[in-house]
Amino acid sequence: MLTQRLSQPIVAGMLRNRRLALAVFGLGGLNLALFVLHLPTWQCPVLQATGVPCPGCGLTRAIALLFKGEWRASMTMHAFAPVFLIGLLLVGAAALLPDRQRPALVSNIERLENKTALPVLLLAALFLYWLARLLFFPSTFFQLIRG
Amino acid sequence: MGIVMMLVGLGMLICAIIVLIKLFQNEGVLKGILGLICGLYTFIWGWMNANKLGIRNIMIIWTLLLIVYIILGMTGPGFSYSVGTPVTTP
Repeated sequence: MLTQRLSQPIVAGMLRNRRLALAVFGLGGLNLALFVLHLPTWQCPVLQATGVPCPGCGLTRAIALLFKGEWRASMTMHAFAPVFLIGLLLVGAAALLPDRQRPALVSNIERLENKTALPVLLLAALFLYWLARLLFFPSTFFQLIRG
Repeated sequence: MGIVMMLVGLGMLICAIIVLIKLFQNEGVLKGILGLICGLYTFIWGWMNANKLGIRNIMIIWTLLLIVYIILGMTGPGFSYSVGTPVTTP
């Protein structure tokens, strides 16, 4: 039961819903653009209320650094930036592709998710990465995230 | 200013937790965890399902708090983001 629940495709489900994909791609892209333009961006509620960075904190900055070609700084900020960038591009493709080509993309992603359980593994790795930063490098982590 | 921002942040966290609970209940564990990691996804999902799940008021409050937080952040001291390697000054 639990294994079945954990292996359910999550990315394909998001890609299948064009409105959701458009909103995620649009707001994700807008957030990135606002950040690059030094304007106020999305605020993480966990960080703002508790002062503790969540596992996703720093991703916007890390992706912006990727676009600037600063790979080392990006990896220091958040090692999962390339993964999330690929995810965002996939969501963008699903949002913007014509109706004839979308089902093929979605079914390929669904097949990949079912075969490899990749999103589950990535989420688990992301959680462990966050835990390791929090436990072993807390001062560096907090300093990086708070800028 | 700091206390107001903290209170607004706390309000945002409460709204986020309410929507997250709905996300876990309706979409399962994995999407719930995704929403936990990516608050923006939770926010979008909340608005897309606001009428269906009866959380429209929560989403309005969350959005207003977010706007207030951004305005406070812009007008408060120390608003400066920079992308790239920090420049050290002597």
